[in-house]
Amino acid sequence: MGNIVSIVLTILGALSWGLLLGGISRTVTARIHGRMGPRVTQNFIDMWKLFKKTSSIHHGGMFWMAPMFRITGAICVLLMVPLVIGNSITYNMSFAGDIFLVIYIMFFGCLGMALGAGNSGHPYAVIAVSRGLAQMSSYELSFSIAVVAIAVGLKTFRIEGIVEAQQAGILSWNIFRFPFASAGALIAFLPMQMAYPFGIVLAPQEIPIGPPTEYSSRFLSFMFSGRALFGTAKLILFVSLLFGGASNWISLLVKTFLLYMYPVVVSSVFPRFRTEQSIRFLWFVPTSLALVDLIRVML
Amino acid sequence: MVKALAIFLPLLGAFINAWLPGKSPKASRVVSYLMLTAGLIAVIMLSIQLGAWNLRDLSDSVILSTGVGSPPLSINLEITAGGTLAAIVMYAATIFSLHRFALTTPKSQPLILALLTASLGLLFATDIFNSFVFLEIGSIVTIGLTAACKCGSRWEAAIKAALVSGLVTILYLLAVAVLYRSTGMLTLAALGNVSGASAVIVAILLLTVIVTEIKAFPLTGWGLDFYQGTSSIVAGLYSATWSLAVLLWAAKVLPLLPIGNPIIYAWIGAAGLVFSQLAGLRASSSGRIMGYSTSAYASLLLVAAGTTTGAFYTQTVIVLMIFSSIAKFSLFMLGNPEKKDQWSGFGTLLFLVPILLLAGIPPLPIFWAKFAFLAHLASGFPVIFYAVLAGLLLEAVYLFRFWSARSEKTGEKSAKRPSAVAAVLLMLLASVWITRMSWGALDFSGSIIESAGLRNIFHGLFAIGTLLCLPGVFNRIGREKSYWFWLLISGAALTILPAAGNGLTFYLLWEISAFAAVIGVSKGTAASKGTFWYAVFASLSGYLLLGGILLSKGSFAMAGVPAVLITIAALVKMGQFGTHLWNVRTYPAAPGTLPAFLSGTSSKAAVLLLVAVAVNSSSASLPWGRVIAWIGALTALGGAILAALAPDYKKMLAHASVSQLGYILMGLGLASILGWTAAIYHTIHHLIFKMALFLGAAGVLYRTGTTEFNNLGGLVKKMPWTFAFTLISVISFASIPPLAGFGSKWLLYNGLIEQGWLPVLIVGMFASVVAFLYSFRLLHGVFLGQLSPKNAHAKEAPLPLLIPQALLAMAIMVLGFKPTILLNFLVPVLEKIGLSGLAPVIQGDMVLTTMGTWNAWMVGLMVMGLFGFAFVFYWISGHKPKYVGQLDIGFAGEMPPSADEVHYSNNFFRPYQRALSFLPKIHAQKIFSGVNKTFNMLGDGVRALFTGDGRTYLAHSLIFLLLLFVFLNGGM
Repeated sequence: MGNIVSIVLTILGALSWGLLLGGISRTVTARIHGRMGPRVTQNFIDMWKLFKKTSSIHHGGMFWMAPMFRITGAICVLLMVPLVIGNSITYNMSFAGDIFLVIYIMFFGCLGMALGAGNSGHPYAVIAVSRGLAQMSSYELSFSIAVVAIAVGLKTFRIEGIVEAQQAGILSWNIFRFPFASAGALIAFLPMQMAYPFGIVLAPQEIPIGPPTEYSSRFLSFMFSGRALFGTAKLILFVSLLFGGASNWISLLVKTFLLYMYPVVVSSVFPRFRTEQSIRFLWFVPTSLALVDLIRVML
Repeated sequence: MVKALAIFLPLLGAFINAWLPGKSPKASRVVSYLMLTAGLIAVIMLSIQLGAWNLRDLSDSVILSTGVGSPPLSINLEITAGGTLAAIVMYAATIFSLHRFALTTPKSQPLILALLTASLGLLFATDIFNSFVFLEIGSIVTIGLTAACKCGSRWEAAIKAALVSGLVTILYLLAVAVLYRSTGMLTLAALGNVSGASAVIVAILLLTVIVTEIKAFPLTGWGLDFYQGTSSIVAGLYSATWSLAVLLWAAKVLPLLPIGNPIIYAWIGAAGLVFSQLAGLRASSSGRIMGYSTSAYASLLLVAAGTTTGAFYTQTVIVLMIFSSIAKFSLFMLGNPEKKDQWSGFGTLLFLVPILLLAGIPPLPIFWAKFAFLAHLASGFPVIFYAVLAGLLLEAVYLFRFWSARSEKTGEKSAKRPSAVAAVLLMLLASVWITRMSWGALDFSGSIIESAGLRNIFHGLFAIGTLLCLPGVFNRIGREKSYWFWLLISGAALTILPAAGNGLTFYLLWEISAFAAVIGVSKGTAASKGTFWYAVFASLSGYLLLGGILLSKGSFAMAGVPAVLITIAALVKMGQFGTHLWNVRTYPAAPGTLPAFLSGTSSKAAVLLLVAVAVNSSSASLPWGRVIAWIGALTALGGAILAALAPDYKKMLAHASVSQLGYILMGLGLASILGWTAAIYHTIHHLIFKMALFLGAAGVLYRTGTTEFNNLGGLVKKMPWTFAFTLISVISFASIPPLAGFGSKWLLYNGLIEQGWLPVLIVGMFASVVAFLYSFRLLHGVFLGQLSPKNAHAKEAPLPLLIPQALLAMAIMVLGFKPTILLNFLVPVLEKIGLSGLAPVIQGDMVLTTMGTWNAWMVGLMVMGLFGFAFVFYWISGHKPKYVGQLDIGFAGEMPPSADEVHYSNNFFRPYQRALSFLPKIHAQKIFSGVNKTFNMLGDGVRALFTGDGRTYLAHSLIFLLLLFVFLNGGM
């Protein structure tokens, strides 16, 4: 029972935190651009507004179910990662699988999103999916190498184990123990968060908002909450993998906040790659970095 | 009395025919038939008397003396048991071709009967001068028959035969003279008594005569022109009577020649086999193809004469020569295939059986002889063995090209000719009878793979895989023929395969399964290219397997070269690393549910083969496991990229199939318990999802008539169930939890990390994410996006295709949620076979390795629970969106004019392709055309010998004679 309560709280907390971070990022971006920007709670307001809209359309079964896929996938990733180390009630479902499971279950939501986009029949949505998949298959390469280097180096695939191995002070964090793998993973983190210069999926100048082009009202609110949840889950995952995890709630919030700001800042000062440039960059630069640590681990 | 009747009745018939007034063709035909039937009965009686039917000892004989005094004044014939079998074939061929001659060249009957007499005489001759007489009669009659036929280049053919016959006569008479001067005798046995310089002269003269007469390389040229030039009826009769007689006569004389070491025959034969078959690759007309095949069998005869003796020699030669003659007879009797006459159904089968027979495919009789013969070569003559194997593979290539080009055409009754029907029936019956020879017994004890658990897994996979393909076989489109029969045979052979107890049984079942599937593929619409590629690669993997099995003396406990050969055979069967070309050409061409069978079920035979090699090795590992794992990883990646860029549904699945089989290799290469668990798990998983996907593709093809992505899309509305099952399979092979595919990846990655094979792991993981590209492309290209108006009529796939898919989808769910059901069975089985590494620990639903954890049941519950909750939450929140069609989209304020204009399909991953452009474009296709070009060049080089000019052929014989002289004289 305690577990279920924890799961519910985790989901709600992660959703709120994700929406709030989104609001903050909009403000930060605006300030960098020299604007006032919306208030930090704007995302909550948008979400509620979309949720309450009643008139809407759908294009078929997969279109209908895609937001469910999206949310399910996001929550699964969230629940597979322990939140606060030492506080076993916040480990949620992380006992059920290791880092490989997390890597693969991340695709669940992506696939659902892609199916919905495909079912919508809108060419822009599908172009975005085609770009997104091509890019995903590229950054997953460096991300996988980084994860394997870290997991093999620490001799465990369990995220809990990876976090525990980083508890001996700040220098035991993987970002210091595996600097090259971390660099590779952190570059891969940018396209994961759809940040510029890798923002080819939502590219607003070309393909309005990419996959959810045809989505509106409550469907869109589901999509957005899925995105907020997924974003938070990825933050927690990266904090656990590279930044020593969190030993208390404050540390969790601070670390995820700082990590969240990284793509926001990078994003606002970079222009966008063309799709093939992005793919090629991801194949070579972060992969080469991550490989250095992999070779180190092998030797 | 019976003896004399058997030999001389045709002669009598010939004389009567010649005297009969030409105006009564009916009477002459009656006389011919009477004489021939009586003679045939006499020969059959003789063969029964000599005990030829038990096939064990074919050298029993009776002597027939005619005339007065001793030879050469009289004619002494030794009628052997083996010879009577050949005589039966000769009689039967003459009887069956008589009516065809009656239609085309009515006055030829005395000639036909004379040809039979000459053939019988030569077959049984014991005297060197008697042989000469029969050789002369036979040559002259052949020339006469050719000149009498109504065909374009008859004169050319006849004159070349005459030129060669003249040269042979001179050489032969010289040999006779030398022999008589040296020994005072003219019996064949006297050949052994010559010595010194006379022996060399006799030997080289007679060897040149024999090589010329049997048309072995390099003295093949005139035979090729002859077969091409003469009419198909003359060629058919010729190959079943005269050619057969000459071959068996040569088989009798060769061991007696005073040549010193007979191994020289084998060298001439082996080299000739390779060169002539290289040239055969370039042959296109049916006459020349048969000519090259004749040359191949003549070379085999030389190899046999050089390497075998006694009863085994007799048996091998009799079976090879008799059945190759029957095959050629029936092919010629079907008419000239390059003419545009067309056959169907039974006709194509009539054409196919002789081709399979010539190519030595089991269970047809030549297979047994070739198997035993090659086994003999492998045990003592390795270089000759490789040469013969290569030559036979080349022969198979052009024979199958001939057949596949032919199998495309349809319709025409004349193919059902009684002669061809009889010949095919004979071949099929002989397949049963031939097993009486003591050439190795079949063994179904399953002792190749000791572990009953492993065997049962494969038995079950093959049986279930075959059964699930069967319901859909009647939903055929267009002119797809009844491929179900071949599917059933192939599946049955596969199902028995794990029970094989020795190399022979394994090879037999393997080949039956492969070639039954080849025939099945040929039943597809426009399948000739796919059939050809499949046949060639099936032959390649078959011969590699055969080579491996024979070099290790039939046992699977092997190392070194045999193990490598067998491993390559398995890789070819799995379409790994460049050999994927056959999968990509064959699967799209195969009809109905056959691709599902080929990709899902049949490819697992290769896994079984690798398992068999590994479990019989000392450390339960494959030779060069790391290389195999690398091949698997690179194929997984390359296959995935090619699949993502494929423009066709079935082609994509073919690439994907090759790619997914790569993961099995990675696991098997590991030789650890985890690796093997992953490999077997993925074998089962691949069978399930690939069959479901191909069955889905069969349904789409059945309803829309196309598999090109550009013509598909939006079918989810029309075929929701097919979509649902395809979706489940796609989620599974993309390794997304909670379905079955994740388990195989998880086990494999754990295994790879346990052994420290990180580079392989990285390539494998990269391949698995590239798989997302094609998995979405597949779903979108066929089912999502806009529905093309062309497919507006499409309906849900028929139930016989849907029900198996439903079962397979259920299996994916069960395996995904409760993999421990399988693992609890599999892990203990694998623990017993001596693999390295630690076994995964299974605690309830939890699977643990030294580094990782996986609880599929909890993950499944979580995913389903969350999805269900989101679904119910949405449902009860009262949001009721209105359904609008796919065309009703936000499109710059316009309604899109047509679905085809907004469906994004063509060149789907073009940015990805652009990103890849830095890679040099290495097309397997180009590599294989390079190989093809090289072989063609070599073939052309050899073909340059055969100028078509009769004088060149005379020069060949003389040069051959000189070379023999130099070589043998130097040797002595």
